Amino acid sequence: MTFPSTVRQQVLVLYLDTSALDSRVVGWARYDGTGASRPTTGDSDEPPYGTGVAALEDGWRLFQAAQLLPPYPGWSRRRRSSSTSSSSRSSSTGGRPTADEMQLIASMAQIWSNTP
Amino acid sequence: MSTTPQLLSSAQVARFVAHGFLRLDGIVPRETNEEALGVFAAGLHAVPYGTPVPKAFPEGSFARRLLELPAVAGALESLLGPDPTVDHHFVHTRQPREGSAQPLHADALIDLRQDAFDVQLMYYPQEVTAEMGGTLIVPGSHLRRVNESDTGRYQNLRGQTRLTCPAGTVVLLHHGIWHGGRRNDSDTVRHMYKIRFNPSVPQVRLWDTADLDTPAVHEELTRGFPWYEQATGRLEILNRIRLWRSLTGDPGFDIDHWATRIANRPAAQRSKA
Repeated sequence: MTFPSTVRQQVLVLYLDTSALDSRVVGWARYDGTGASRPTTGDSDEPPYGTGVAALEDGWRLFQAAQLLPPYPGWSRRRRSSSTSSSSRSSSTGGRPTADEMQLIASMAQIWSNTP
Repeated sequence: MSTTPQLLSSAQVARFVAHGFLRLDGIVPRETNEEALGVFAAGLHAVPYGTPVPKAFPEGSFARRLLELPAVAGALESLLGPDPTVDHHFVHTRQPREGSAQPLHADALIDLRQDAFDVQLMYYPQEVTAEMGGTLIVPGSHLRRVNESDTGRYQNLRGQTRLTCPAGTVVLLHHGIWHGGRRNDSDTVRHMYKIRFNPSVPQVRLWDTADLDTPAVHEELTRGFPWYEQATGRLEILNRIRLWRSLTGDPGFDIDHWATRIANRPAAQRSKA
């Protein structure tokens, strides 16, 4: 079902060097709700912005940033319960990482943004 | 042409430990590459998990000849030792303008082994151009343990390798490397033949260790990658120290005192005494 008058979202995900929004972008992903483009895995070598704040300055609206959970032993994985493509209600970590994954991934802060 | 396996140096193995893969560009002869597409079209025979190489790939077979190339044989022996077994083999095909890429993933469950690793051989019989969507590989990701495609949300990471290569290129990868087949935006079918190997002996000092104590080894093991976060990226160095200790059989190996420092527990040592 389509709604011609509905504004479509473009979603940009930036993974940052530290938990600070003005830190360096180390990873990125895009999803285009207009269907005009088809971003996908491995489609660019340079991020669209150098930092999280640079995206804010360009008009992207932050609507969620990852909660940082401290790593501790015995953390067990459970399958993610919601799709990460559900934009504004996405989970912060996409599921519970293992202890090892948690040690190594948890500080990848992310910004979920959409266009103004 | 020499048929003696060309063992890797310590610096090359250290580079594998840091990067998680080793490239051997254009090493397969042209006539073998030309033969490959016909072999793939005919279909591969099934190989039961854990089959020794001689049984999986009989003398004279295409795969056996590929594995007997001195550079390939030497690299595999350096990483896996003699008599590895074949886990599985498969031809990955990316159709022209197929519209999507694989999500970034590791060919692994959460694999907690610290004293063993599998090696995956990827062979590209054709030249792979950027448009053909060569394999995406994230250098230095192999020791960051994840469960298969849970990394799928990362479309791009700084410093990733979007493989382009000449025909006849072989890449050897640690089983934990984050990778994915990229979208093929060309009009050419792209093939990649993959064989996964399991070691059958302890993976300790299997290479040419003459340069073990040279600065080049230290340089490789301390290498950073652009996508590493400032804090958690440091843990990769610790992971490498652990793997290098295992590979060299040297439990005291360290880089800048990192592993020694956090293992220093005088009280625990005293209670054992």
